[in-house]
Amino acid sequence: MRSSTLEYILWISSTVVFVSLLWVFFLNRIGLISLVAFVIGIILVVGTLSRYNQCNSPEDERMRKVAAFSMMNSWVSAVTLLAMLLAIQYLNWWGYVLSGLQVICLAIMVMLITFYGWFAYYSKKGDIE
Amino acid sequence: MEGNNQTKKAENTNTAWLYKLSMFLGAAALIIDSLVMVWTGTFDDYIFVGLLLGLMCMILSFWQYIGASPETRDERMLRVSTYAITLSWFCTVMAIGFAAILAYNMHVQYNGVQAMGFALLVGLATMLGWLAYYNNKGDLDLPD
Repeated sequence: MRSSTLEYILWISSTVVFVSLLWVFFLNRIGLISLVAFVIGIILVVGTLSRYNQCNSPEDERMRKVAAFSMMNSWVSAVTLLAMLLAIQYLNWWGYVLSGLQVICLAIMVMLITFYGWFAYYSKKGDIE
Repeated sequence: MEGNNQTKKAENTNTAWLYKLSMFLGAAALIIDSLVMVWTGTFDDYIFVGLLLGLMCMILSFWQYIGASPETRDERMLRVSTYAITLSWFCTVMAIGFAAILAYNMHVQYNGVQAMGFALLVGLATMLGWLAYYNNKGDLDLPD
């Protein structure tokens, strides 16, 4: 599959995932439509990202390195941000208690946003030093 | 110059075990914390302190342990860790997504603390699991 097609799929599926997660987050309940949108979106996002990461092909070494390092940094950033959120909740700085569903939506959004952030950063930079 | 580099490398090898110990102790503290959070659904003072210390130990020694720092660069370790964390990222997103699906119609009920504990637990456990697997294997066997 062409790289530009993969990019379009990634953009559209990411938008679907973010919209469905924001919907669930603000309504604090998960309906059939948001569930279907989320499941289809996340399958496409994960599938496209694994193609991007080229786990089983050596086609583009630079792209593979950029995607892998973005995911590694995204993982560390997400764990740190989630732990900070727990601390904020504990210290009651926010004054609002998140439900289980909201936390799950937030965790997925944080992981995806930090990945896209790092990916954009490394892509702009050109390569990993 | 060559001698200086070798001395520095030897010093780094001597302290490598310290980073490794610090990272694994930090990860163990975080895993125990997240297990307690999932089990009890509460977040008390002990968990808060454990989480802070665990996170500090893990994050601070993480870059040294995986060899990302220029002084302690180890290409094999860097490759293995990057790949392990990449796979862990996928596992975590899929596991949390599955937890969201389980919440449909409230088939499974959990509070925010349990969900957060679950996310941390899956992220850390899959990362350590893949790291141990690839470390044991020796190196990645990606196609040339």
